[in-house]
Amino acid sequence: MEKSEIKTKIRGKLAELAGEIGNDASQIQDDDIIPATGLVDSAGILGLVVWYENAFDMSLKQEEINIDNLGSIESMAEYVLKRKGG
Amino acid sequence: MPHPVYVPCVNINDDIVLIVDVTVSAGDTVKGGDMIAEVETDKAVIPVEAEQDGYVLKILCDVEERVKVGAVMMWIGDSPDEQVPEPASKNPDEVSSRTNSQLPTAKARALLDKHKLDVVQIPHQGERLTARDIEAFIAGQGGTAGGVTAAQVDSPQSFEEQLPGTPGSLRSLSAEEQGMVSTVIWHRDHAVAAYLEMAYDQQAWNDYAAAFAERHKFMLSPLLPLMAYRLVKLARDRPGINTTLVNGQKYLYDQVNLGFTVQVGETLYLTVVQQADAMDDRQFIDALGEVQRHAMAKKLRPEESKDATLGFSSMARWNVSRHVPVLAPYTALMVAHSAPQKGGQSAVLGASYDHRILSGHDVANVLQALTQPPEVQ
Repeated sequence: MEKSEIKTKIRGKLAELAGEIGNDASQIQDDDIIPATGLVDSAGILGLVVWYENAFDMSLKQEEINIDNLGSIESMAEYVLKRKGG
Repeated sequence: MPHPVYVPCVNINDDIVLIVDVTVSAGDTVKGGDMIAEVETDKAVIPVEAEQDGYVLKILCDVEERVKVGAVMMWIGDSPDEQVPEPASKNPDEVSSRTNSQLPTAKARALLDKHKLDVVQIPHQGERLTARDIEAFIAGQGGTAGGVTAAQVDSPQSFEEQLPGTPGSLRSLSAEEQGMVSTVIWHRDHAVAAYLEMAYDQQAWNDYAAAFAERHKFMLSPLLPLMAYRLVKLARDRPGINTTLVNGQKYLYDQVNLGFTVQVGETLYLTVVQQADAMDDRQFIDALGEVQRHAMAKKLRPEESKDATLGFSSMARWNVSRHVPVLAPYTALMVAHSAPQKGGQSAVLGASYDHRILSGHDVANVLQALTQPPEVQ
């Protein structure tokens, strides 16, 4: 899967989760730190992580769930490619 | 040790159910929660799930066979080569061949199913096995069997209610809904529930959680997990809050299993971190995070949703300013975290507690300690 395609999927899910609590995530940038944007709350971020594992068929250890690996759309896409060896 | 899987009671009016599917074979490995068979009554088809991990040792029923509720339908062992008990007193044929005078009453059948007891285990006084016989048996076993107590005889399943006059339709409860019913009934029938609350300034906690998150590069705010962990530590120092009452005696738990509510869609789970008191703060947050992810993915393991000894609940996400939680079975305290009031850091920390065990003074002291993070105190 191409990085751009991965980012599109993540962006779409993020928009969905932000929409659930009445926020518009259409303007979020690839490098924005997702928790810092306030667009999704903790439950939304948890939902994003669970979706991410399913969507990209990866099982994450708790210690992998951190800002460095999953903090932004860019880093989330990078981490998929890294885990997949791409 | 071999564990029996009983033919479930789907409806108390049905003594017999039809085996419509058996999805495992002898020798298969199963995990707790796996579907192993399906049974049907006139009203519903329900799955039968394995209650623990193990190996299918022996299957005692066939597809399309009509079997007695409460009979053993298969055996599951911890290892593949265990011997199953002699079938003479357990197999469905024998159960169905008992005379009517030996059959349990409808109320007794519901209790047998609820407590996962077999009719042959229970001595009885009269011609038929009654609910009173089962209650006496359970009391003699220390008050519990199958994780519930004798007084749960008054569950909605144990008597027939009139249907409302307004047109409608019946549907069976999901496993999660049944769990909620059991919890609420325990709260109603056993605990003498009281509630108190305390206003506090959440700023110190917010600062503490933000620093912790930055230090560990967390994706999620650790505020609520850190507060829950603080409660765990308080329970370690004040074992009275990690206690329940059984047959008029206090039962002090040797470990703290922290129950933490998680809302997934329309379902509320009480996820459980076992032996939380043996963890440090980071280990606890990781363990709770994993349990929460399992709940979100609807893949909770059996041990992740049972045997809570203490509870923590928050409805801050929905801007709820106050909520009075129901106590989880066999717990004496459930802390309720709510959203700060608009435009400020002033928030309310509440607690439901079992007044048989804890006084308002006890709970006020716990809440007072919980209003500040550990490094500030």
